[in-house]
Amino acid sequence: MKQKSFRQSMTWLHTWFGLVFAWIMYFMFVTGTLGYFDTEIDRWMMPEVPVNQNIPLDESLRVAEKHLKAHGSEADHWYIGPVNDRESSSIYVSWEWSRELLGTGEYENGHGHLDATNGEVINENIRETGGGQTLYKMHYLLHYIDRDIIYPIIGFITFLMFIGVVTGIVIHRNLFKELFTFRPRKRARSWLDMHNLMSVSSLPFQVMITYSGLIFMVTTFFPIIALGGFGFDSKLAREETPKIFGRGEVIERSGVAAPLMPLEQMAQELGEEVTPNNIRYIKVSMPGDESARISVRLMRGVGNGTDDVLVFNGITGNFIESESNLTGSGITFTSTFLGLHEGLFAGPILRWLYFIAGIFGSAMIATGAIYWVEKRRIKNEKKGGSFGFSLVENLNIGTIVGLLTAIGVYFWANRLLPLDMASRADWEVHCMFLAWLVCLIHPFTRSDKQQAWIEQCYVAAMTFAFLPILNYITTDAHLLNTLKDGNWVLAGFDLTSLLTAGFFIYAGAKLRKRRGAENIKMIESQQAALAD
Amino acid sequence: MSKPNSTGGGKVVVSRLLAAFIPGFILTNSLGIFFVLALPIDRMVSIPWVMAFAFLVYTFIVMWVFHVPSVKRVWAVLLSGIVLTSAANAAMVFMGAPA
Repeated sequence: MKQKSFRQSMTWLHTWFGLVFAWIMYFMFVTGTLGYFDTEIDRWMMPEVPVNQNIPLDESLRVAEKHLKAHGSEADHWYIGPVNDRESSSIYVSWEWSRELLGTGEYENGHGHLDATNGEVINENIRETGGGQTLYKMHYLLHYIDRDIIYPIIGFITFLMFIGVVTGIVIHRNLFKELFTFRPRKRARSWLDMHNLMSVSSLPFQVMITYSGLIFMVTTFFPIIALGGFGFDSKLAREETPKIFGRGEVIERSGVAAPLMPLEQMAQELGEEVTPNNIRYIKVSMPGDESARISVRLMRGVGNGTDDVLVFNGITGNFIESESNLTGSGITFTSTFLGLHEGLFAGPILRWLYFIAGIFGSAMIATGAIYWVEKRRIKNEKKGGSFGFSLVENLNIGTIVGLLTAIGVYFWANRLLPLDMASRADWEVHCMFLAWLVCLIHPFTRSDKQQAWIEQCYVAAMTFAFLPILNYITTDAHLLNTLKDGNWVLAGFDLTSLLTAGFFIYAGAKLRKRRGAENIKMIESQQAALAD
Repeated sequence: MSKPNSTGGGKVVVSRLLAAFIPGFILTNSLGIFFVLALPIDRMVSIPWVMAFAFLVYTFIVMWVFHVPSVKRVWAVLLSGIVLTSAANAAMVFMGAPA
């Protein structure tokens, strides 16, 4: 075989690795991007949650402790998430029993959202919903498939995505020149230019997000490296590996009962510097036992892994130590990437930048897949059409636009499904995937694919344009109220929905105009041919 | 769905895919183990580094597999790489590499 240039072979890799899984990658990017606003979406999907703001830490802790003592006094661990600005306007509590108690089958780990003002459980009054969390989890677990099966598959697809990004850089090495190249009205070339514009302008994000996505999978991909690193001594590896990944010290029950300190006093121990906004959660281990420990996980670094954990004696409240998961430079490196991926540290502006970069990533995949089609269109028409070509084109229409319509339907289902429906949260997801299925089938029924694009754009536009109106009809948390109250979390959702609708109306109108122009050209050329 | 004149015909592509995802993956692992064992660094530090960089190494291997014109050479290099690194790893484990 003839020696070809490195760029040529990388183009092959980029094209085919990119295309085969493009639609799943697009799904991962879109749902993952929405994940940056997971708690905001949660709040929109649970309009019953009382809006409590500025609840002091000791208040949250007092309410949480009362509930945990009543429901899980002999549990091994309690977790408390106090009321804070972004994530919750309610107190989150959960409790875990020891393995032995769980084994008896009589105990079940529990959790609940509490109203900070009166300590009542609000789960019961909230509609059952998957919320933003279900949507966000789809980006690495998809849905309907067992976690153990899907995780390695998603890992593999993420790896192909990473290869796509790296080979993309090799192919388009004239990054800056291409950033400023845009040739409109040239069909295939325009799509390539769009693809380059989307990827180059957000390149650091795309490299970071796919590489860090892989880092989530290190122990899934390379457990053998850790095992081999310990000389294939599996017992040693089992003992030592958790230490590398900072899965802290295990606290044992002493068996001697001792009263837990009142948790509200923790607020004083922590001092004024620590507010609910920089506490990720508070964990109480072995409450009611002499060895009880209270650990406070602070949001200080980039993310979960880089946090400091302050550990206190659970009886006296004395500060014991500040624990860190960062056992070495390697873990600091990986934890930093994981933190960057999740973006939990980001404030409102950076969070929006994350969201926009995520949209660019989704658009990068979408425009790449469209370019694949447009580049081959003329050749394909000369050949009289091929199955692969039309499959790709149909999947593009049904996924690039159809998936977004389906997500809109997920939100519609949240408002329209009967509140007392059994497995309501599951049905929200079923509605989403049924809608996607319809959108996937639809282009196959249209011989004119331009028409299919236009129809789907308008359906997506309608889905999102009427969402705030549906919200107005079904709840009190609609734009007129949320804008007046300055509740930007809820208002932001409805406004984003309107913006999405606006985009699809524009896209649909633009496609229609272009088709009109092409039809005229076609008719003219036919007439010219007849006149000859 | 492959273009016959770019990276080889159907059979060659399948062979490359297999090479990338089986011996390529094994070589990444045995190279990783080699570095953990051979580097004079505390393995509690080196293991997470090597695991994080293993993705880059693996990416490089896959790109190389699809670039080299001769598929035979791809397989030969990958397999001998596995044999060499595994032998070195086995030697280090049996001699009790300093941990």
